[in-house]
Amino acid sequence: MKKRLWLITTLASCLVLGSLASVRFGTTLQVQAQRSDALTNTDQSSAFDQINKKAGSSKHGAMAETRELVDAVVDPYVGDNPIVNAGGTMVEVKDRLARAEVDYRQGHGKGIPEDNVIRVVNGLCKKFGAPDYAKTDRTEVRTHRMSLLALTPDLTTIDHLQGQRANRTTAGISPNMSPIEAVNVTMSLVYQKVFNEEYQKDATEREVQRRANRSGSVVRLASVSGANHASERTAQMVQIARRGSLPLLMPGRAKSFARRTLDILGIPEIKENK
Amino acid sequence: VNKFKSILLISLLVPLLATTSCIPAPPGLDIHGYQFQRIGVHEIRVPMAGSGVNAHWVRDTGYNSYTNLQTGFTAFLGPEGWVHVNDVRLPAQWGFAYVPRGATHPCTGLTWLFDLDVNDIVVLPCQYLGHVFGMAVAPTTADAQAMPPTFTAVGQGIDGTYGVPMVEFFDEYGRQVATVYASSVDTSAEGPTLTGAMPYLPYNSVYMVIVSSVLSDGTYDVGGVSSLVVNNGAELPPLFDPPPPPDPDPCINDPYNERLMCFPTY
Repeated sequence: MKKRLWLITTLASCLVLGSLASVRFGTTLQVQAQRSDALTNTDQSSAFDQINKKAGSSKHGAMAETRELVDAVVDPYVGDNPIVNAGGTMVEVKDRLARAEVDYRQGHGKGIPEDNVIRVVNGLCKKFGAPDYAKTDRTEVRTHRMSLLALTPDLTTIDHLQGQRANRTTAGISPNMSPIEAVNVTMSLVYQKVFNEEYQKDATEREVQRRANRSGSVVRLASVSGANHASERTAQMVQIARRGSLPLLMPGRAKSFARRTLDILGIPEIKENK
Repeated sequence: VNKFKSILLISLLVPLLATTSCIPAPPGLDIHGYQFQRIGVHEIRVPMAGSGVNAHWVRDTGYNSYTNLQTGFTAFLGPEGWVHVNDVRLPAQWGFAYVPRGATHPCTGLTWLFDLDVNDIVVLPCQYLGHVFGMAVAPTTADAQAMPPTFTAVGQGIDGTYGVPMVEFFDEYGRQVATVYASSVDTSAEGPTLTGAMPYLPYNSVYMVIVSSVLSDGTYDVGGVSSLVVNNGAELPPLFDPPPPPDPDPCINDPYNERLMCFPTY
């Protein structure tokens, strides 16, 4: 009887330990398996250079060139992520975006207002419970577009000054963007909000930074580029993003999330008769 | 029977408690790699998605209950330039480098040495000067009350072969405030140099200066971007008068049945 008891307890212990170990190490193996072969890029240029190059070559191009531009814009941020690619989500997103861009260039639609970018970013903040420094506003979206102007000038919509007849109140960066520019601005802004300390500021902190920049006494938090570790806010944003993206693992959720985001951004759906 | 149940219960609980409280999880770390580019006073980043990172253990810096963990690995950054690596020997000093992508790639040759603890996030920044960079404007700062009569721009992207380069000035809110054409282009110096008349810039702002050169077909191509800070002037008019729009509630108007995403965790 005693021998039987010990045998049972030993077996039970092994089962408990075994199940715990499989949870831990199973997760480990799963995580380590992630790899991005499709993204391995031997090109010497940065993602922004690629975007600008494709934007330049697709200006008068058809769907094929536009689709290449869409790939250049979307892939650096999404790539082969199995979560967001589930069920052909990214194929659908890219097709919808490319069609919207071609339609826009053919004169259909007024473009995407900057306010829609704010709606997407702040909507995500609300959904994920992100702090105020993750939210954005019109001024930040505009200054972000100014930075992108330097990196991807061929993708930035500008109303240029035209000599003496120019209307100086409207010349400059257009408040309306092409669909692909809107997605480029949104995706890069969300990325900066998660990973770039210079963008992790609430409205008050942003204004302080702007005034410091104008006075020439630059208060550069951006020196974190040389830092060894992620800042506290970056670590917090990463945790928020991880927690918030968990529901996307459920079947069909990634696709509905992507559709909803494009709806808020104002990217028209593909009509069946096209 | 009761005795048997008690023993069975204890035998289940003891290893469970011992496992969860005494044995730490195998240590791991996160790696985040990105390229950054400086535009005036701003810095913008783009993930190094798909890049490989070589890592090697240097020395222990604390007690490690797992002694057989890996002391070297190559990890590939996933989307958003991020990868999590488990079973890493920590706490310890580790060295990192990007997998070389060609001798001229800006990230090739960069190395880092970090003292790391369990679950640290390693950040591997790599500065890259894109094709529209490498231009310097002088002066970099100007007094609105005493503006210099001219400015100069130096950069490889300046080219006067097919026409006079154009220089556009944008304030920090994207308003194009001036366009001038180069009064001279000197390509005999070490770097092509452009001189132009300084436009009227009355407001305090970080102005973006964009130089575009004429191509053979007569169109303009951006050849350089830099910034100019103007101070001691008037306050820059705000970009917009009305307040920003209210945040949308993603849990209302839910055409794709996302209400399940609106649990209290959101």
